[in-house]
Amino acid sequence: MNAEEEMAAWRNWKDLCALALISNTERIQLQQVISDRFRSMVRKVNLHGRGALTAPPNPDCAHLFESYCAMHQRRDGKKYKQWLLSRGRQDLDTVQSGVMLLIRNVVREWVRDSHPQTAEVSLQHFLGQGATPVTLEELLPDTKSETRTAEQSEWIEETIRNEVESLEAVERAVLLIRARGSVFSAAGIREEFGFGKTALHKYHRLLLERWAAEARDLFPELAPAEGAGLVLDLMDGMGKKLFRQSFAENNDFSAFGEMEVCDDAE
Amino acid sequence: MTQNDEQVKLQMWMEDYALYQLLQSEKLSKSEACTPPGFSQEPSPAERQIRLWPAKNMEWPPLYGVILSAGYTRWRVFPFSELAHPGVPQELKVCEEPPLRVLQGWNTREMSTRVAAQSWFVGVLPEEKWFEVNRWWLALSAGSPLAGPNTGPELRHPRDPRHDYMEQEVCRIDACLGEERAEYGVKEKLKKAAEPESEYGEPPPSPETS
Repeated sequence: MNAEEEMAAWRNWKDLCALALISNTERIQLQQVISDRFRSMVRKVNLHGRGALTAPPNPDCAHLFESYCAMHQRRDGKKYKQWLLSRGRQDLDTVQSGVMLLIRNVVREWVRDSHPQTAEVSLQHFLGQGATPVTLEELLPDTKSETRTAEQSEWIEETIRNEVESLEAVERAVLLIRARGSVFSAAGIREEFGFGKTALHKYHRLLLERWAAEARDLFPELAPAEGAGLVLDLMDGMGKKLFRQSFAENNDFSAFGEMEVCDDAE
Repeated sequence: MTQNDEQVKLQMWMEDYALYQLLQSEKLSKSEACTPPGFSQEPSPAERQIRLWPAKNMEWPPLYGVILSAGYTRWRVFPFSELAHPGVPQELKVCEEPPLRVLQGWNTREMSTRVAAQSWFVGVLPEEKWFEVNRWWLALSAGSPLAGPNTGPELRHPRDPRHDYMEQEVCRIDACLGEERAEYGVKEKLKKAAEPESEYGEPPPSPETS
């Protein structure tokens, strides 16, 4: 089938709503295009050592593609076909690259449903890259602080008391944004604090490293996840302190202060 | 060590994200601008509608989102995540079936009717889900995200891969809904009080007449 014929097949598929309703020749061609892309994604999963998966037969790949995109036959759920056939130059190249963009999620759903063991992540699995990768249990240490010693709790309180005033402007911004639950790249952050997301992420990590090194020196017996929990509690505590300060500065309550009297008579 | 609920939620999200990253790593399409297609046959934006926005660039797939009113002729769009599980407390799982599962409350965009209408109508979120979304958004916009099985785990660690995920997601939504997070001053014709509203399902007026 040449490019013109394949393009006509895609248009028929859009107009008639389903692969099952177009001619046999056209259906076989489109199933082939879809499953070629499906297989290339599966090869990618296999190449990265995540499994030894075999893609389903061509009609099944095409069925998975149609079902995912049509949102399980929702009445108006086929608008993605309009997207596919109306974007860019509206030629075969753009249709095929559009199929590829959609097929990534189709393959991901198929792997999750049919081969869940392919993407398993354990608690002790190292995540991310860089010199100091972290485990999942370090990212979200157990919040139960029953095992925390009095010295450790005291270290948190003392560090907050001693360092909150000497933090650099960018460090204050990091901890404040963190306490507010905002994203560093959120609208208005640069305008409000004067720092971009790259600097904020950098100082966020530097603060962690600085306090983590201090905690390791003081409490060498701590396991990595316990150490992470200690430092994250310190960062949260420092953020809350800054948040309260900034709230008080922005809301000048004078309930207990002197009342300003304006003498109109003069 | 036994896992707590938050760690279980993070593990589920992380498994999905690892696969997502693996399949996203290659650039699949050219980085060229797309001319928006015509949407004249689509109904006007309204609350609860699920719509599909095309990306302004060939590199990105289209984006599903739900519409909430943000005042007169203004709309707030909640994007759907491409992942199956909520990644942070500001994300809410509303459905089980792909591709409309998790809403991103931290990544919304406010826009005029004109911009919101540059999309295809896909469906309407069921009433009971809409109630849930409103309750969640009310808490979230007051600065107290609701915790529970349908929201994501806490984000505390500076080296958490979810920071990267959020930065990537901001780019994805910008590519479809525009980088302007709150667009004001769009000149639209004001309707007189007695002027009849168009019926639901009728095509919106063409851009030339509005």
